[in-house]
Amino acid sequence: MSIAVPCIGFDCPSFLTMPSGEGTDQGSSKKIVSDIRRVIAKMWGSESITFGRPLDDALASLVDVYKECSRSDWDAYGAVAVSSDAYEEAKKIINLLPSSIQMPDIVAEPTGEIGFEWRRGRGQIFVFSVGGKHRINYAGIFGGNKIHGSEYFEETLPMAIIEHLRRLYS
Amino acid sequence: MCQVDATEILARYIFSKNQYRPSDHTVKYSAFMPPINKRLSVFQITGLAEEEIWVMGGALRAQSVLGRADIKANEVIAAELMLAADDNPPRHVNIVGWPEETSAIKLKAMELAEKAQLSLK
Repeated sequence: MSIAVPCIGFDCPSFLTMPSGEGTDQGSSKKIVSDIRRVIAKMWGSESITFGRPLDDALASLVDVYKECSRSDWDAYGAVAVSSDAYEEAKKIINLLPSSIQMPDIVAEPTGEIGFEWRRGRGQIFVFSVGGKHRINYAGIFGGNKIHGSEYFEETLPMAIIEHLRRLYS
Repeated sequence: MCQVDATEILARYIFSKNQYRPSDHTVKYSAFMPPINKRLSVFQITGLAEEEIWVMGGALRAQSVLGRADIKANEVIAAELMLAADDNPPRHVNIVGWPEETSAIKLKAMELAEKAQLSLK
């Protein structure tokens, strides 16, 4: 039997507070957290999830690229400056990348887009770029197979992009 | 348009550090992405001494040349691109014939970067 007790003052736990693992319902709350972690890991095709440093490094790399390439002619061949829209979209992309894969090299393109490059050795490369226009342009070399295309992007990474990344890391 | 021999070696001078990967000494695809006018500038370096190649690159721009990506002319032709030598400045060649689609351009740039040899100054 359970009784509802009114919460008075500031002692109430936040909805965002993680279960303490103590209390009358210890077993089920631990299991829920464990299940959620397993489902998320499965979604990205890996049982291990790492947060923190790789993401921070990628964001720091993006800032470096933006600092260097947000002026025109940054490549000495008349390149277009990387726009703040492209920078913001690239930041959003980094935060959406599956944490189970290696973080990409971040580059600027002469058209002002920001590119992401994954290279697993000779002949195993996948790249895509964004320019702040909700469009991802991608290309990949997977041994003898070559692909390229374009996908609309809003709030989530298109499945085609995730599938190509999986292919590179399979 | 002047002809370029298929055995010629072409150098793409690099002025930005985000166009190569020092960790494994490789060229990033962005070094071979063409500008908006789709004329990618390279130089014929066959027969030149190493010192002469760097002097030529150093005289091109106000920015310091950091390195170069060397590629054989026949690799450019194999990627279904074309070479247009204008000799202005001397030994100058443009890689032209890029596709219209942005993603297809990216793929060509990746193919060239895979075949290129990085030299750092």
